[in-house]
Amino acid sequence: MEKFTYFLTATGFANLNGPNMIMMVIALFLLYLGIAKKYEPLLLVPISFGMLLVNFPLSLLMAGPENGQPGGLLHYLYMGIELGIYPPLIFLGIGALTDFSPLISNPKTLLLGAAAQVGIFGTYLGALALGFTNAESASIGIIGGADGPTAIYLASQKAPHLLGAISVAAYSYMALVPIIQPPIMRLLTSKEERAIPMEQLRETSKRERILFPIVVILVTGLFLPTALPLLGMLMLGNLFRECGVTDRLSKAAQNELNNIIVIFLGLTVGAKCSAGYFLTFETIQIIVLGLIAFGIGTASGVLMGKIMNKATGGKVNPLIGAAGVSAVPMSARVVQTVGREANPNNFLLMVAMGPNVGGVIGSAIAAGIFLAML
Amino acid sequence: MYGLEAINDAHGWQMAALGVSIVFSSLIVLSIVISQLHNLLELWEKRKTLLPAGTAPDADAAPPTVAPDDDLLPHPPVCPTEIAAVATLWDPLIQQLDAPFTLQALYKAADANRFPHPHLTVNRLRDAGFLAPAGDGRFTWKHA
Repeated sequence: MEKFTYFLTATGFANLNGPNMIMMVIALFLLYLGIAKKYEPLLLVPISFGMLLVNFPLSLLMAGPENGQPGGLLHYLYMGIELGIYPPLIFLGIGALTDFSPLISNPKTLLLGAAAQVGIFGTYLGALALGFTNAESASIGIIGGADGPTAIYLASQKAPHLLGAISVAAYSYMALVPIIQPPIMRLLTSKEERAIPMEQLRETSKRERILFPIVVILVTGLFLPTALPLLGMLMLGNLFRECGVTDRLSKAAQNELNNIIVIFLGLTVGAKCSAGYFLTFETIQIIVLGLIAFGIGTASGVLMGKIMNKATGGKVNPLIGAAGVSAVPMSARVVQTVGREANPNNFLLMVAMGPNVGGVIGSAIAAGIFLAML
Repeated sequence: MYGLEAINDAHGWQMAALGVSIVFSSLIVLSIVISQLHNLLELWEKRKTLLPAGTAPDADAAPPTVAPDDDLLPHPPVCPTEIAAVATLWDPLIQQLDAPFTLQALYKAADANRFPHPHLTVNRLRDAGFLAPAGDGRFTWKHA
């Protein structure tokens, strides 16, 4: 009988508490969004499952080594985040997957990618005003870049205690791009502006595409060496893709490596969201600030698009500025959809890919600035 | 400490201004360099005609081999070589069509939107299984 009682007290049922249950419900809801609604399923499914696993009472998955016993599986996988290994490897995969031709053929769109980073610095100020420290504010502000790996990288280096909330906010907003961006885009543009057709992009040569990653890394590496872990891997992945002699490496970076890292990253980010850590007022503030950051980023991109529209005599559709946040390729798709509503014959997707990949470079530079200055 | 006092204490205004300036200046430099890339490559291609007489490479030197250079082939930015990447670009266009659709309707939509090489691409998408027959000469889109 005594053993039976001991067994009962050692079960999850006996140790279940309110906060754990709330977190498990949130995890199941996110799982539902990922599977049923297909909101970024490749990220949301592992994140929410990691969240579920770590919130079981007496779960040892994230426990560190103790009394000569090894730690939990996720504790060791989490080292990849803590040591800043996973985000640059994700960037390697993104580089190998991304065609930079739209940016090479229309480099002016880099300015739209730069403008969209204003949200990062605006939110940094907002977070400071709410009482967060300098390093915490920078990590919260970077959510505005809508770039999950960059947000995780900066948070892991500067505010590891906020990593769970920041990564969940960053990936949630990336998944919610089609809901968050269109109202801001419509609010800031007229129907005539949204209907502006854009010129077909010029063709790029293979040599240009090979030189692009090398030139980018030479310029940005000299400007900001602290951005090299992210940008270096991004450009290496792209060089694998374009140089034509490393097809196997390019495919490995695009598929096997990328998928493995996404599983590890997703699981461990989710596992960081335990009840005691996540259900705090601070987390709510971070999630609200992240939304503001994302909104400001979208708005500043569109406003820069309007400036470029005026400067070019109406040749630029301001909507493409919204793709300056680096949620690739979701925000470019949103631009395409909103543009089509105003002009069914409009095709903005490829043009919007320019600021979109420019935004990836811009947010990595912004992260590098914070790493260098804080 | 909260509000403007906290921002001032952390030198927030200076940090934000400096941060925005560095992002803009580095991307402007990058954009200028990238915009000149194809001009530099053109200059490199024409270097023999541009070099003053006597400094041109020796005429007795081995004749230049014609390296396989795909610059000779069109490489439209909207036409990546991998069919999966092409399918991703075509996805938003095809989403506009009512499924199942005819290849003729798809071709017309692609042509109207100035997609390069629509006929060839539609054939490649069909061969790769992205366009699956749905009977009666109609097709459905199979793209995750």
